[in-house]
Amino acid sequence: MVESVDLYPGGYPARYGRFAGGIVAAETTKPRSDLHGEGNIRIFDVGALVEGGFAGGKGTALVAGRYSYTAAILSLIAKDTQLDYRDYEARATYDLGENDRVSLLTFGSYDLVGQTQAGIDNVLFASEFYRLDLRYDHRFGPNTTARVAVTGGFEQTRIPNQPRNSKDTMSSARFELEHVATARVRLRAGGDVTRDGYSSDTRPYSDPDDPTTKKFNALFPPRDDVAAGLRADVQLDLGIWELVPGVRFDLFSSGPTSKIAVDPRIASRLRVAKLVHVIHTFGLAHQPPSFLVPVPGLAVGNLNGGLQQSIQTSAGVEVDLPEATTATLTVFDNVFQNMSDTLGVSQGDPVDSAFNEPRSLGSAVGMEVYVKRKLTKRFGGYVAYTLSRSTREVGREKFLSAFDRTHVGNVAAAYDLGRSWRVGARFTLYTGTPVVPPGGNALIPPPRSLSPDRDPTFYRVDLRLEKRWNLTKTAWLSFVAEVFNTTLRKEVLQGREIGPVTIPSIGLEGAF
Amino acid sequence: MTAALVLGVAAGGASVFAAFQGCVPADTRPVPGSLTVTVSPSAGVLGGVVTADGWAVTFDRVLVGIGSVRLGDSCLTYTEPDYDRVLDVTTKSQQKLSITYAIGTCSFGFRVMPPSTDALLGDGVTEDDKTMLRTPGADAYVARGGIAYSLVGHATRGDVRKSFQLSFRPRVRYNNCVLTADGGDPVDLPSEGALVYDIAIEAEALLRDDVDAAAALRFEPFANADRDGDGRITLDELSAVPIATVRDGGAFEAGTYDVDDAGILRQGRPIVIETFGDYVYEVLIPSIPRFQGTGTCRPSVRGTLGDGGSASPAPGG
Repeated sequence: MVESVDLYPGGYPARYGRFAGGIVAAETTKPRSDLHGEGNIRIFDVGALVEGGFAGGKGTALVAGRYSYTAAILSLIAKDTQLDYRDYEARATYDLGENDRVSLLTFGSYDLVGQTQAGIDNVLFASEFYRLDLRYDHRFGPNTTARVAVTGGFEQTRIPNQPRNSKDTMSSARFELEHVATARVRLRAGGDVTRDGYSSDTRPYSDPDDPTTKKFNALFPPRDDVAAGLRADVQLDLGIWELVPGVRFDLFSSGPTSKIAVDPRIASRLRVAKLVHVIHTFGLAHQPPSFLVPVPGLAVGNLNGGLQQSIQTSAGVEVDLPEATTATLTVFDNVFQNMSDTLGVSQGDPVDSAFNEPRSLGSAVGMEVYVKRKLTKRFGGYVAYTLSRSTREVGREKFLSAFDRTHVGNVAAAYDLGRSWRVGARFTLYTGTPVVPPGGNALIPPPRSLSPDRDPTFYRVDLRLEKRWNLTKTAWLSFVAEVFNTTLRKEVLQGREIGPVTIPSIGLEGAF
Repeated sequence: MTAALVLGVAAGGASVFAAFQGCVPADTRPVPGSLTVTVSPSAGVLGGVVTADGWAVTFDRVLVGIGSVRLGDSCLTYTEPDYDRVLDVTTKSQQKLSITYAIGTCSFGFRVMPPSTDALLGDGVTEDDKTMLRTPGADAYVARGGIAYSLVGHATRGDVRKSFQLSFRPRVRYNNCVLTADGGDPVDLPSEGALVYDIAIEAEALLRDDVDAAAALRFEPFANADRDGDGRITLDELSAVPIATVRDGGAFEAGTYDVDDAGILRQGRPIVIETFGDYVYEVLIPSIPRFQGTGTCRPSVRGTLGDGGSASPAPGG
């Protein structure tokens, strides 16, 4: 159902906002009225997608889902353990006329880990989220399109060790406009209002003096958060120079606190030779305070501590090489202000500091090299390498982020062996993150370093073998064998050896 | 097929609205029992003690960092109050430590250690006290750490008066507490049951001439340790006194002690008792807390030099 995924490490288009870090943007496939589908079944899960048309092609409907029976199998083996996982997607579109279409998109997911102890079912962790998006698209003519949409959503998580449910009931409305003014000028604009209603159950059976409970309640108060934004950008085609200036305005409101953000963005792509482009991006981005990791239904309520802000710059060269190969070299320098990066500045057990919200100044500088050759060729693949350094400052102390890795590399290749056999391999390597010195809970914690000891370098080799049979002109079936971490490498995190995490899998894939 | 697809999409959409109550199951666990843990001073801390060698010893202030109550895995613990307090046990007869909610039968443990960032303050304890305890320091036994016990007091015999202000930095986890020597798990919590257990702080343990709680108390070795004659006894002065010169070192004469798991004395690295200070710090201090009147716990001492976690004498605590 996903047509493409774009990663924007910074300086992204104005339509993306409210996040100070990188953006991963996924585009859905266009609706198809011809009946088609695909599916796969593997050791761990099964998934399927079916799409077709109705009403003489005016409408389309798509349903898809994935179910992992790993959970069911484990639950059978370890009867005291309950695991559950599922997700789904569905979409329907209907053309009201030549220029009008309504669409309904929904997706969701559910995960649960539980344990039965002394005959009592105890949910250790559970999480779910659902979205429903209703869109109306109208074409005003050959050059102008508009979309209005409303979205509803619900998400909920059973917080471990509390244990209680935190929920978010969200609703949103948005509009988008796109106008091709001339062959060289394309205007894009939009706006939206989103309300998130956060609530948490009262922590049951808890010591009223427990500081953890008080900190949780202070960090995640029940409240309504509202974010409203307007954005616009212009795609200018100036011959050898493509320029996209843009800006977005956001108003964030949480309880009695409001903050305004103005985020200018600009991207430039200049052809300096026939096959060589120089690319620059610059942008500001703002984000409300965030929790350790995104958890459905749980968002930090401390807007009065200010927005997180990032200043993102990058410059690069893109070269089109022979044999359908493209190479890019990009250097980047991002500054993060007022970060609520609890994990990145953690000095002890992150679980102990989960409900703290220290603010920090951050920096990420580095270089990326990316060379790819289309997988549609007999031999295809990519090489990606990132050299980077990520630092944090708290008060007068400057140190490396807990997630800093100096070198990260990936090489993937696929080769068509002939007779519908295809083999693939992926090599991943990254150097270790800094080892946090003990004693972080002390009144005067040991100082952190800009050249700390690190965990050892880790690498992994994954292999894949596929044999395909073409059943008809459009239908095919393939056998796939995969091994994740073929060489049984163990990873070391904070001095603790983990694994080896090696996952073999065989399965069938098919489509019609 | 097409009708099925349309129905599928409709069902998916409808499920979103149905899901506004969510699929995460409700909490169906039965009402748990509660275990309230208190901390109290021993009679000796409240009223002072008269030692076998004729000294009247008074404890003016006894600060302790204590908390992190934990139950064994055989209980279903609903909430574990993993926090600690700084208590001055001379100010009040009994103070709350924490409340744990659980069901089942299991072991009980707690921790004495320098207070954490979030440590709560007991009666008569100030933020300055907490800061003092949390400030890293070093002594002959701990390379770097805060203070777990701060014992301030004085002793008189006739017209002689000696005072002491002693700080100890060990981190001690007390596990497997039992109510009686041959007792089983002390926690038995049915649904809606209620238990109250007390941990007495017996500061006079540092005056014992043996690890046995019934051992005689004496202050003369402390008084004699005041070599500079300023009337104030320090840990350095205690550590300057060879254990062999102390009239009775109890079970701990000079030497190295390394006893197996079943032994009373310790697990892990051997302790070396060469001085009176060694004896007080390594042997007597871990025996200060007493569980529920006459109960005992197995202490595991961390934070002393060269240790990788050890258990010290268990009789008191």
